[in-house]
Amino acid sequence: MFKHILIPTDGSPLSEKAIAAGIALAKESGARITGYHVLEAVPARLYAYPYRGEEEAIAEFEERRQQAARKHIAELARNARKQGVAFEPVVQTARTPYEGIVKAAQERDCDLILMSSHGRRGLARLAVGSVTDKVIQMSKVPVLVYR
Amino acid sequence: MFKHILIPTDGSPVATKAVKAGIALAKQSGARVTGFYAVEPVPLHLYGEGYVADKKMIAEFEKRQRSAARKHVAALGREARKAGVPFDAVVQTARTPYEGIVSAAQKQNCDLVLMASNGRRGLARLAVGSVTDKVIQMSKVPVLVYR
Repeated sequence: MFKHILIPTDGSPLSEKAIAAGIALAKESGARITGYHVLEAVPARLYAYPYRGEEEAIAEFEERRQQAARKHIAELARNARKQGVAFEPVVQTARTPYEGIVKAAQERDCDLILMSSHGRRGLARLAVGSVTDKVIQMSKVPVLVYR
Repeated sequence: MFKHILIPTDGSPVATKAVKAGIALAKQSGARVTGFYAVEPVPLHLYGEGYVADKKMIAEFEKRQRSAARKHVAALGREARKAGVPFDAVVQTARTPYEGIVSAAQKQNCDLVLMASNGRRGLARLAVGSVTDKVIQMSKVPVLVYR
């Protein structure tokens, strides 16, 4: 049914549930998994006055983010391999997470995106929005949403 | 992976595409499918003063709505049987389609809701909204969204 599942993760407990389900579904379908972590681009203002000259701090920030991302993905990879599911990790920088996810799914020819949602309602939904919402709006690939 | 998939339909072309995918997934998982159509009640104002709608007309309206609903769900049932997937049909009156879908998924103990989205964006999204959006917000069961 599915051949290549994209599982975006931000390392939160909510997405762990989605990950377990994703691996089970991949196993059943004989699909491979791409684990995906988006790094948001460093805000341009950090390169401008009055931060100028803090390149070192920014580089340090970048480095730690990369480490955290790799750690989350490595956990996903371990779980996938335990189940004998082929796994590829991707850590990428994008302007916003949803853009990164939609683009990665297209570029890598995924046939399913599996992710979790905080499922905010009412005003919180309007104010905070949700990455998952935007992925559903923009993605040409089916999206499976876990709570 | 999944044991019981709820597939709501409104008979639209996007829904038909989701139906095909849903049945393929059910077959792979060894799940059964419940096809669902939510019938909206006749708007209250038709019962009010100033309308010529008599009881007979309202009864006729409801009758035709139900027969259209049964027709759409029966089409789903045919597809399921062709694929050898166990199938149940449910046609229910609900105040709004999304409430009908969410409560049906819970009552029937489904472990997945599979549905299509028209994928409106921008203003159209704010104005018209989407049944799928609301199902994702309200459902405790995972939702797989097709375009």
